[in-house]
Amino acid sequence: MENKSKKYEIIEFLGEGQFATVYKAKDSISGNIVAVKKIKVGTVEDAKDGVNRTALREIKLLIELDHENIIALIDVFGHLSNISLVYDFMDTDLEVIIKDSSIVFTQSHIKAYAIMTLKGLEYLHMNWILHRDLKPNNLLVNKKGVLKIADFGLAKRFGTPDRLHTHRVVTRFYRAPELLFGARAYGPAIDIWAVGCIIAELLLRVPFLPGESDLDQLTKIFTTLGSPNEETWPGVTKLSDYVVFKKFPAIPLREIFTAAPNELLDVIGGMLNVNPLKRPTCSEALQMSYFSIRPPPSLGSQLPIPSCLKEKSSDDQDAKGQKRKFTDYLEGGTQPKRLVFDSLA
Amino acid sequence: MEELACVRCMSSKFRNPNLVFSFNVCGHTMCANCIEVAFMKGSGPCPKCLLPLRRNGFKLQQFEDASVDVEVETRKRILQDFNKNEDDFETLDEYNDYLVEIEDIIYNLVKNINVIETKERIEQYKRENKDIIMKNRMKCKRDEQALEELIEEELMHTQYKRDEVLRDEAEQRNKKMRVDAELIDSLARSNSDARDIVNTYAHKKEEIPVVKSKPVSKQPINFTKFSTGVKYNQSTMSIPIKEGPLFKYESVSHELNGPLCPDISHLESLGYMKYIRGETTQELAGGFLIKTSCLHYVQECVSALYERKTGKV
Repeated sequence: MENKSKKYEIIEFLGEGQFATVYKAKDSISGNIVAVKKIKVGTVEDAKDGVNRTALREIKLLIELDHENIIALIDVFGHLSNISLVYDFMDTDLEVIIKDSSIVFTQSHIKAYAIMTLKGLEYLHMNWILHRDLKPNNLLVNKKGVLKIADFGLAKRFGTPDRLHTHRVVTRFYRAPELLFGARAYGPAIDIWAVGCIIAELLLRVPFLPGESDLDQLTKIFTTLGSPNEETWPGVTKLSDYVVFKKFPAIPLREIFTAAPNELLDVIGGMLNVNPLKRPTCSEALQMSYFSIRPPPSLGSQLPIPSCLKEKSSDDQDAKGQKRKFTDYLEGGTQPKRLVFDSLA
Repeated sequence: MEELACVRCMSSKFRNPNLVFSFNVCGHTMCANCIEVAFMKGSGPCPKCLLPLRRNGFKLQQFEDASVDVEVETRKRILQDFNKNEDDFETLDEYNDYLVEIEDIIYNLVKNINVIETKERIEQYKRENKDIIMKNRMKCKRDEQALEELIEEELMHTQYKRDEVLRDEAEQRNKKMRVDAELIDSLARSNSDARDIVNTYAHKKEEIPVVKSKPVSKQPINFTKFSTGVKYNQSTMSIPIKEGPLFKYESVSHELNGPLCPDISHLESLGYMKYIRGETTQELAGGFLIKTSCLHYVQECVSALYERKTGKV
């Protein structure tokens, strides 16, 4: 077998994480642009099984999956003592888009992102996989406006009784209360909670529940959504890390999300129910009325592109067309320049 | 974007949704309580930027971001003088240039760029266009007056309609009461069978015509525009945006390549759950359902039992 590391020509350095460095590269045979994730040679403990554990998890799970809204693992190759994973190239992620203050989200944009996330997650849960690390940073978006769920380093199969999972998963802001209370047996509801937080973040443009510690996270959750008791969440007091909280009343979501339609509040309220059994599943969530009513979700080409990307891509022919289309859309096509204050209705 | 919070006491809208926030020319937000305390004398420095402020300069904050409010205020002030409209220009281009200039000025003032120069620009404009400004102001006033009259007329119209409906309802109620009273009377006095009497009166009651709201007698005003200023027949869609189709949920199913797997909701009725342990309280609280595991294993059992029709074995 020929050396695969020569098949991919590295174009530029993209970023570095705890376990890996990511490069943008070109497939010298097909000409496709891909992302190559080179797993770092970690400590001895990390590589106890021969290959880094997160990488192994990611390969094991991703290789079987095939869905529009899940990142595709194209190739895996080893070079010397390194292992590299090759993915679809994605231009940006949802975190960048949320933080870009020049972008204004419409209801259609939010709906489109929510639908794509839920569809990908529905497919994962159907295949008995928990993602366990959903956050805007792990939802990658390409120039065509397609959102794909990525980073399966914490993902795990579920649906096997007596197999305990660790509760130290999910970035804190998006961690469900049952995990914070130390539940060792949990289900897909933890991913739904994270999606609820992400949709809320799309509306607020800042993390919805930014806890500074695990305890502070619980405080933030309960001061906002109301403290649980045995009635609203049966069995909560039996969880291993349960702490008694002062009784906080729930703040009506309407007061937090003043501009959101009622149907969207239903979606958020359902997903952010403190009791995991009361949260909807992905399929149930997608069937809620919010997703099928007007306005329809944006087409991929209408979804926003962060400004940092627009400047960078001006030398790329394909990107140029995209950019022009985008600015045209902003200015309302070829209409004469005039200040139009569209009514909010 | 920062959370909306008072610069003096740091309490935020998130923690106390009832807090009333105001802002002053410097664009810093303060809550009502702090303004009360800090500006007891009527004036004082902004706790954040030390700009001397007057108490009556505080305006209620409408937007989360105080800089938006500052811009709105500035815009209001500038537009009092820059009040030309499209008819005052020869070509559309000139009008557009004029609009761009206004935006430039507002932007400069809000962002503190070349403030002195910008103010000079405004003064110069004021001197040059004194007449037009006055003329347009008068016109504006007239327009506003007309608009107010329109609103009043609309109000009167709705009031009139409401009165009419109320009157009709009252009339009907009176009629019904009269019939009831007659029924009681005849029951007390007549010698015939009580049942007959009740029946006849029940019919009578039904016969009372339900007063339909009459066709609006006459429209007291001719509607040419709504009070918002939008013309009656004008379409409100000004920018056509291509919309995609509405989302329709399509259920996805597992390709099992095997016999049909029962739905999760049928597991119990089909007896699959009979010999399986229940969940512990802890598992339930964590959102773990034994049913899910059961479905998982049933699915594993039936999947890939059929021979693949295509491809390798």
